[in-house]
Amino acid sequence: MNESNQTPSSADSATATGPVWAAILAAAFGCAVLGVLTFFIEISVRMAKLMTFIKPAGNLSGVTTLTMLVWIISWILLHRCWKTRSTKLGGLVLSMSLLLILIGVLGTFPPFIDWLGRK
Amino acid sequence: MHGMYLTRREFWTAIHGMVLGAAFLILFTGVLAGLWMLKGNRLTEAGARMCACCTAIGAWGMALLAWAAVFVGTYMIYPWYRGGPPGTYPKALLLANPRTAQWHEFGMEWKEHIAWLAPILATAVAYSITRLGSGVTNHPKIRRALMMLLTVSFFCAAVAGLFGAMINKAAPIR
Repeated sequence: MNESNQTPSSADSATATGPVWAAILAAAFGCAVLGVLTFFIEISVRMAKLMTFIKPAGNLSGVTTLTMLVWIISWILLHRCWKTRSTKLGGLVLSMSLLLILIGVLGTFPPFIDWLGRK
Repeated sequence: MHGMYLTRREFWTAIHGMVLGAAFLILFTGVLAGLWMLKGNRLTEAGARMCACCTAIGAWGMALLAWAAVFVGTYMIYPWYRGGPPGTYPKALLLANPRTAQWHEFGMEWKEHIAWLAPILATAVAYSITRLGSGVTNHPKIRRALMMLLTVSFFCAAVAGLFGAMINKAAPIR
């Protein structure tokens, strides 16, 4: 997000909304990552094997571990960027977040995977 | 009572669905109501502070319950579902019969993944309410965003809970 599109905090970091938008966007990004990884393990045997971190839980262990890592790292990075700011682009962040969440939900939906991946 | 025995697997399956999952779904109503109440100047300052505090506690409760549910589900119950002596575990039983195969191919495949969206979204909501406190009342866009995220989180948990209950009915974990 461009700095010129944000207003510096007028009070202090406790009242800035940037960290809240960072948490929302990072969570949505985590959802999208889960959806994309799920899609790929369903259409690729090699990917499914790669994602098997813990054998009893199968490839679900790899997908969820990677999702959590990406979610936490993206949250830390976004938080650092926006921690003392109150972004004016709340509407855009919200729209992006909803789109990312939709990717996450669709990526886990078996008929969508079959349709897109021609499984 | 001699006739009310649960195996260890049945016990943990009940904890996963009927305690952790059900409590999450019940808390949703309270947290959503709390967020709905934190609108504009509907509450006094002290009332808004109290409401934000209760809503944050509820949201953290949801997040913790959801994390516990997905970890117990993925690392304890799921291995029992998908493995065991040939032809005896629930996944094999469901796939062996064309009339029940879709419970695995659609129900379980969707449930095992979508469930993980619930704790991620609930954590973001809990953090945001804690961060802003009663200040949520000054940010209608954020309040609406949190209500949306919470509702999606509920939807994901409801899908997982519904399919979990139905699949365990079709091929119980024992």
